[in-house]
Amino acid sequence: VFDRCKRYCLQSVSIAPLVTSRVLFGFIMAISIVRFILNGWVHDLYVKPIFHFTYFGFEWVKPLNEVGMHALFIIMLISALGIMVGFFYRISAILFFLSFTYVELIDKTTYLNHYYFVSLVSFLLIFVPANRYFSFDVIRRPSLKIDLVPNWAILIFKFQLAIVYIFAGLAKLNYDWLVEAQPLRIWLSAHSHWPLVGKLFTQTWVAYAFSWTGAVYDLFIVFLLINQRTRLFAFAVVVAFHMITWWLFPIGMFPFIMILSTLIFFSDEFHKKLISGWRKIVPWLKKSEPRPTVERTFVTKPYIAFILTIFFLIQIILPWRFLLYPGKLFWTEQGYRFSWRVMLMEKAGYVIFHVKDSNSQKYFQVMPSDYLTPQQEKMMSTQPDMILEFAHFIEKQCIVKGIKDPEVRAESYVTLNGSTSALFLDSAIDLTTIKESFSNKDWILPYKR
Amino acid sequence: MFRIGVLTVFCFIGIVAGFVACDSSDLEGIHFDRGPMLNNIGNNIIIPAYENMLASSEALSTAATSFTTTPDAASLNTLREIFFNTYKAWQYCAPYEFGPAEAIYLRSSVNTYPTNKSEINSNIGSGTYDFNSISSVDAKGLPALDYLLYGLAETDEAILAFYTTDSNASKYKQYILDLVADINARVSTVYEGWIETGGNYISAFVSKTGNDVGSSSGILVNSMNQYYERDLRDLKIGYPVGIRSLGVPLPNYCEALYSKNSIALANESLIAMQNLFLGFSDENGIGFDDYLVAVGAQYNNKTLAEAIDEQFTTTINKVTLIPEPFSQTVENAGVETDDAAYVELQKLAVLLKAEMPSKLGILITYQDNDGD
Repeated sequence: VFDRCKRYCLQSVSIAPLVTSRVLFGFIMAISIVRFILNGWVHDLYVKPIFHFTYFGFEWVKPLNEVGMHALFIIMLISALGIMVGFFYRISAILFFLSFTYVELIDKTTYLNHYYFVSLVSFLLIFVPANRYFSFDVIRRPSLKIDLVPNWAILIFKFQLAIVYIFAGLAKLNYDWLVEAQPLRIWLSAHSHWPLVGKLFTQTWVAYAFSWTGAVYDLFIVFLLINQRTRLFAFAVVVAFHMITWWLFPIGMFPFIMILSTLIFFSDEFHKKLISGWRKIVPWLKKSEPRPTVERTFVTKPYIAFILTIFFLIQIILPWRFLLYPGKLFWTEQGYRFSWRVMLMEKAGYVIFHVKDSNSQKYFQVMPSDYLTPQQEKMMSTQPDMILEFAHFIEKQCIVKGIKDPEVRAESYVTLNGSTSALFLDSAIDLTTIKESFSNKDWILPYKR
Repeated sequence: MFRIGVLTVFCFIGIVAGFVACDSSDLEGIHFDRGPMLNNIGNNIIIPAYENMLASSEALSTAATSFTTTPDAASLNTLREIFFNTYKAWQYCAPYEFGPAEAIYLRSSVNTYPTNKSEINSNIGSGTYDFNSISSVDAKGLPALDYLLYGLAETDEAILAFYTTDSNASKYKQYILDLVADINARVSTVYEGWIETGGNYISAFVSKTGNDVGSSSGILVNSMNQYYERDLRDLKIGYPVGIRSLGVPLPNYCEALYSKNSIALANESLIAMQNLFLGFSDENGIGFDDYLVAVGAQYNNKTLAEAIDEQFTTTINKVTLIPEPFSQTVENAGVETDDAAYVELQKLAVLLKAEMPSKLGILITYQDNDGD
């Protein structure tokens, strides 16, 4: 079996799907980055805040100053364009992966599953010869040109998409989503002002229909895309599904990234047609690229298999880590991120930070909005690790102000998927005595519906 | 295959459209249209609040003119009375710092406190000041007037002397006239900006019926919360009791410090917010409470709408119990962690900022979001 698998992965296939995916990925990333910069988000998210919520183990990732952050985004943009046109491709892919991931690691507040997806795909792009056809690199060095790649170079992207969809589908198989139709019941009814369909969104059965359809879609769409007979149908569904989510929810570029990504499932012929279509738009590319005499292929280096195996193993294990923690996952959010849990919760909270000087017994409160942006405050108020990190920040602020031994307690209330807000954390615990770690946060109170 | 896919999608849309077209009135479920709510809040709450404030500030102008023409005990009392009315009227406008009000910094222009006594005195002494500059906010507005009408000296006779026998009397009088004119002009600008025959912000306000950040519901909920947390809970009550200053009371941070009306104004402000929540003007119109009822929001064993309304009432009752002058109260007592009024104010904050927007699906941030 292993040998058959190996042979299947190394079997030579057309480079075309890889090339179009490279172009489309670079293209949509460039657009996303320009949009991000034009929205002023570089400043709002990475320059303006005086405090950032770091990832455990990545506390050293700090934002640069205003000029530095913008420079980083310009590097990201140039490398995205480099990926698109295949110009110094390997360097572009590495630079893009590093700059994008660095930015994402600056602040937990901005964690989005689709940013995680972009980081993963750009990591994969580093290892594939996606620039060796229809690219500036080939024009520079015609000897680079190949027509065939080993099958794995395309399979890894399909597998990556399969992980995203299937885990997203599995995550939807929970009580709130299936039985309560939450949070869609809340979110859809907020659209009751829409013409024609507005009234439908207030219908309970519509919320159920959307919830169940969404779960089935996520679980099975990859299989329908793989099967050549159902592929076109599946792609139409992909487009419809993502466009509907785009109209309904503020999810930015995600729908477009996913729609373009799923094109990788299409046949070699389709991708070849796409490339010859593009050649018509840029005719000089056609002339400058030499015609092949023999079909040359790319040689797989053995270390790649090792890296990719580890890469995917981690991804497959990571979403299950929540099983190691007690309590309701949505409530504690221990093991929630990096698991393709998308659109699963309507969660809001409110935290009051009580500070006491142990020496003088003097007491006061800290207002998070003195230090945090509204977005940061909103995200923090429902996530224990962020509350803890902010409590430690308060401790440091107090020490700077001359309070040597402050005690910081968080009185926090959280509402989840329509439940009545309840006390979230043990408000008797002095958070300055708690260290951040991956071990269970036993100061999170149990969830009560 | 592709055709079948497209066909399926169209069929789906067709079914949905047909369903809506044939029997939309019979649909069970939530029927809440934010349009009428915005219409009620805009036309029956916000515009009348500015209208009332404008009438008050015009009366304030008149009273200030008669006081400066004949400064005596009687005209001072009239001016003080109207000043208090204006300060109360202001509480009903204060939460709406968006649109026309935001454009001219109405809130900070009218009510930045503690007021800067030394700046006021030096302004009066020099006779040169520019009320259009941002840096002047703590030397003008109602808190400056509060100081000039109550805080210049201990007794009324001594205060009156500043406007009669003082060598700078004419400058003092001019300062009052100028700052009243500034309030009046700004309120008038904002009122004009809102009404249909003026800037017609009202029509934009009523028509933006979405639930995103730029929609009127989003703007209202956000500015309501921001105002509630910072201006109402913290500035009016929290700061003076020392909740942000290591428990050290800050009596000088009281609103209406010199006229000693801090608690009355805080209550007025809570009533204004309760009215906004209920959509209450002359009668109980459509407000956020009706919206919450429509979406079936529950809070323990009652509706969230009831819970919030009750919490408003509880909070108002607790705040009322604080003895005036508030500055004296905080100086004597300091703050206990379980300070009753503040605790109730906090509970209300949880309901308004976490519960309500979450149940309504109203966005309070603008960024991309995949719902986690």
